Amino acid sequence: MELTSLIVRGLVIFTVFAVTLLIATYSTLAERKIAGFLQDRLGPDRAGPFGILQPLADAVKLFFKEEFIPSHANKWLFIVGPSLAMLTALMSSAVIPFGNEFSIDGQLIPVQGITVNIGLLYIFGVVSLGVYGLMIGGWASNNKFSLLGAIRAASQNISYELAMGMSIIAVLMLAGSLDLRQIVIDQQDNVWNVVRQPLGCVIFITCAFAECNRTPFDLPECEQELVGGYHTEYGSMKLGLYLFSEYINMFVSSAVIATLYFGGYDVPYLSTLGLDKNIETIIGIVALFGKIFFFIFFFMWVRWTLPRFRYDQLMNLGWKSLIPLAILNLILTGGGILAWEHFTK
Amino acid sequence: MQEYIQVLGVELGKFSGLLPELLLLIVSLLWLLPGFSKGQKTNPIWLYSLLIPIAGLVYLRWFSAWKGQSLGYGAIHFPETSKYFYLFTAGFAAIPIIGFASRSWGKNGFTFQQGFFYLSAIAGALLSLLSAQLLVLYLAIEILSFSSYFLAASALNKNASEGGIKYLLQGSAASACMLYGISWLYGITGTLNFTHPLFIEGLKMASPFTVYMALILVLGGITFKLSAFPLHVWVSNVYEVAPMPVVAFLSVVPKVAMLGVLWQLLPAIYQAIPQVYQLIGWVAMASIIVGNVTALVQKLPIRTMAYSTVSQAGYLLLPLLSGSELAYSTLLAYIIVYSLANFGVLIILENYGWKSFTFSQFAGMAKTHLWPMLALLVFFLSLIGLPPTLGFLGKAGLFLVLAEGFQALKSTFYLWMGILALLNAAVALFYYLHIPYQAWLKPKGFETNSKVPEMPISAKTWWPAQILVAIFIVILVVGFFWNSWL
Amino acid sequence: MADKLFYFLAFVTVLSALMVVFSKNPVHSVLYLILTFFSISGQYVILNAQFLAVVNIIVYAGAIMVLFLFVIMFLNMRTAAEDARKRNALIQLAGVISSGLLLTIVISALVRVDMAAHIAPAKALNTQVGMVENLGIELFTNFLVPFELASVLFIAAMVGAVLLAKREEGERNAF
Repeated sequence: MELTSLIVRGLVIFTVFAVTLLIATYSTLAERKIAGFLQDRLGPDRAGPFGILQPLADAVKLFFKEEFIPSHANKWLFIVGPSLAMLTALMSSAVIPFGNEFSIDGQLIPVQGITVNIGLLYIFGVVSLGVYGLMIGGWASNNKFSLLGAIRAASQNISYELAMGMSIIAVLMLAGSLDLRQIVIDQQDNVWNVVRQPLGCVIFITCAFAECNRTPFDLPECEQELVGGYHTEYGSMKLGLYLFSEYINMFVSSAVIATLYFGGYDVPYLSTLGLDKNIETIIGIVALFGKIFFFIFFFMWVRWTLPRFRYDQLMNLGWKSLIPLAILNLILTGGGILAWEHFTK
Repeated sequence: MQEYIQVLGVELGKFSGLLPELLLLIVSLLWLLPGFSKGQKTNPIWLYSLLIPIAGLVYLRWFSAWKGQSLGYGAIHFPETSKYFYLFTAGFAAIPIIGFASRSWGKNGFTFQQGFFYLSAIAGALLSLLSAQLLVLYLAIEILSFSSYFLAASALNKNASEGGIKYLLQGSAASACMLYGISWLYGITGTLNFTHPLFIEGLKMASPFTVYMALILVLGGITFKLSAFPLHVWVSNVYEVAPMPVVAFLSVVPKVAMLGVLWQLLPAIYQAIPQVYQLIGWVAMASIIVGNVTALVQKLPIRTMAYSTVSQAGYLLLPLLSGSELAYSTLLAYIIVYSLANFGVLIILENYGWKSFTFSQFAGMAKTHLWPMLALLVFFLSLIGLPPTLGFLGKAGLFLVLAEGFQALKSTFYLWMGILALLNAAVALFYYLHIPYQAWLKPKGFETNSKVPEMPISAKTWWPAQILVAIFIVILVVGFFWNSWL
Repeated sequence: MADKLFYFLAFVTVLSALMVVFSKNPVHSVLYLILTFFSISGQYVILNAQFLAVVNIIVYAGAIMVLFLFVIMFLNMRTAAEDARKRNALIQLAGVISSGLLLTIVISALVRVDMAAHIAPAKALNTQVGMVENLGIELFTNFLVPFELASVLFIAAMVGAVLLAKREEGERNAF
C-alpha cells in the first residue's frame, strides 16, 4: 500500500510539473500571438499551423546557439544564476491545489503537489528566494549594466514583497488557515475573496506584476535603458532559462491569484448538480485552468497597454502607496471580521 | 460588542503593572509624529517638555504604584531593592536635558527623532530594572542600546557617524554574546525567569563549568553597557564624538540601570554557586586597573574622563560582591557621588566650550576662570575620594564592604582587592588632578589666549547649567559633613 | 530516520558555516550562509516547528541575505587579497582568545549532557506546540510584553538606520 500511494503521489507531482512546463511553453507563443492581436497583426504562424510548433522552434534555436561565458566572469555563479531562477519558479507550483480530491477505490487523492498546512507561507518564501537568481546572474556577468539591472530588479522585488505579504495576511485572517486548500474551501463556503477583499486583490495583482518583472514593472530588463538588464551577457539556453522562468512565474502567479481571490477550483453551484465526485473534480480543474488562462491573458494585455514605470516612480508606488494601503486593508479586514461576527451572531 | 470590550479591558488590565513605562514608550513614539510636518527643527520649549513624561513617570511609580501583575510566566517583578535604582535612573536621565538646547547637536539642532531616542532609551533602562525574565531583560537592554547608538551618532558629521557605527558594531557583538548566554541559561535551567526557584535548582544541578561559561557570556552583554572590562573599548571614541548631553546620559544612566539589574540577578546565582563573586571581583579589578592605566596616557581630557568612567565602573561593581545592607547603601551612595561629579565635570567642559581641548590648553586658567576651575577641583576630588567631599565617604564605604566580606568569608581575595583598590585610588590622583595642576601651577601659556572662547556656547543653557553645577557642589561638600541620611 | 536526517543536516550546517568563514570570495560566503540557514530550517522542521522553519527562510534567507548581497555587490569587493602579511600581534592574540573561548564552550557542552529534563515538571509532549495557532496563542498571551517591546525596538532601529544613512544635501550622488 505504501508503495502504491507513493507511486500515485509521484504521478500527481510529475503531472503538475509537466503541466507547469507545458503551459509556460505555450505562454511564450500566446504572448506573441496576443501581442499581434492587440497590435492588429498576425503573430508567428509559420512553424506549424497557427504557429503551434513555434515554441519548439525557439527551444531548438536556443539549444544550438553558442554557449559562452564572458571573460573574468565568475564561472560557477554565472551558471548558478539562471538555475536558481528556474528552481524557485518551479518550486512554487508545488503547493497550489489544482483540484478537489479524486476518489479511486475509496482512496482520496488530492490534486496538489504537496499538502502542507503552511502553503501560503511556502509560496511567500519561495517568492522571496526568487530574487537570488536575478542578483547572482547580474553580478556574475562582470558587466556594469547587468549589475545595475540586477540591483534594480532585486530592490523592486523586495519592495513589492512587503505589500504582497500584507495583503496575503488579510486573506489568512478571513480563511483562518495557511493551507491553500483550506482557503479554497473557505471561499466555497462563503463568497469569493475578490468580493470580500477588493483592495487586497488589487494590491496583490499589482505586486504579482512587480514580482514577475512584467510591464509596467519591467525596468530591470528593458532595452531602452539597460541594454538587457541582468540578462545582457547571457545567451543560448541560459538566457532561455531566464526567459522561461519568467513565464513560469507568470503561470504560478496567475494560479495563486486565482486560488487566493477567485475561488481556485471552485465553480459556483457545482455541488447542487449532484455529479460524481471525480467528475466534479475534473470540472473544478478545468475551471481553475480557465481562470489561470484568463489571468495570463491579463498579464499580456497589460503589457501592451501601460507604459513602463520609471525607477523612482516604481519605488514610490511600492513603499509610499501600496504598503500604507495594505496596512489599511488589514485594519479594515480586521474590523470587518469583528463586525460581521457581531452582527450575524 | 459588550463582551469584546470587556475582554479587551481585562487583557489590557493585565498591563496595568507596566502602565507608566508603556505610557513613556507611547509618548516617545508620539515624538516621531511632528517630524512628518514640521521637518526636523524643534523649539527649545519642546526640550523642557521632555521633563514632563519623566516627572510623571517618577510620580506614578514612586509615590503610588510599586506593584503590578506579573504578566505571563512572570515577566516583571517589583522588588523593594530596585526602587532606589529606578528613582536614580529616571532622575539622572532628566539632567542632560538641560544641555540639549546647546549648539553641539547636529545641523538641525535637537530633532524630534532624537527626542524619541532619548525617551525610549530611558524607557528601556527602566524596563530592564523591572524585568524578571531574561527575555524581557534582553529586549529592554536592546532598546536602551539601540537608542544610545543613534544618540551617539546624532551630530551627523563624519566623525560622529563613524563613532556611532563603531559603537553599534561592538554593541551588536556584546548583545549576541549575551543572547547566547541567555540561551545557555535557559537550556540549563528550563526557565527564563531568574526569580523562580526552578532557576536556582537548575543552576545547582548543572556542572559549575557550564554555569560559569553561561554567566561570562551574559555578563559580557551587561558589562558592555556598564563600560567595564573587557568590553569597554567603545567609551573613548563615543565620548569624543558624541554631543556632550549624550555623553552625560551614557556615562550615568545605563550604568545605574545595569547595576540595578545585577543587584537582582546576582543573588539568584550566588545561591546556586557562591564562588561567582570571584568572577565579579576579577571583572571589577580589571576594570579599575585598565581604566586607570589607560587614562594616564591620554592627551585629551574628554578621553581621560572616558577611561575614568571605566575605572569608576569597576569601583561600582565592588559592592555587588556581597549582598548585605551595608553594600546596598554603599552602592547607592557611590552612585550618587559618581553621577553628580561626572555630570558636573561634563557640564563645565561643555558650557565653556572646552570639550575638545588638550591638557596643555588649560595652563594658567585659574587666573581667568576661577569659578569653573574651583568647581572642577571639587568634582575631581569627589571622584578620587578625598576628604572634604562626599566621595571620601563613598570610597570609605567601599573599603568597609570589602572588610566585611573578608571577615565573613575569611578569603584573602577580598584582602587583595582592598589593597589594589587603594593603590589604584592613588594612581587615579595623577590623571584627575591634571587639569587643576595645569590651571593653578602652570603659567598662562601662549596657546590659551588664542583659543579660549570668552562667551559660553549658548546663552540659553548657561544659567540653568551653572545653577545645576552649584547645586552639585553644595551636595558633594555639605554631604560630607551631614551624612546621617546614609 | 529522524536521527539520520538530523546528522545529515547538522553536517551540512557546520560545513557550510565553515565555508562561510573560509571562502575567499565574499559572494560565495553569502551563498554558503544561505545554505546554512536552509539547513537550520530543516532542523526546525524535524522539531515539528513548521512555521518557524518557513519564517526563518522568508526573513533570513529571503530578506536579510538579499540586503547583504546588495552591499557586497555595490562595494564590489574583490577576493580578499593577502598582500602585506602584517603579523599584527593584537589580531593574533584576538584569534587565540576567540578560539580558546570556542574550545571551552565545546568542552562545557560535552561535560554534562543531562539538562532540564530532570527538574522541570514532566508535561506530556504536545506535538502540536509548533503549529501556527498554538504559537500565536503563546505569543499573544504569555509573551506579550517581549512582543511589544520588540516592536519598539524595530521602530528605533528603522528610524536610526534612516538617520545614519540619509544623504544630506550636497553629498556625493550614489545611484
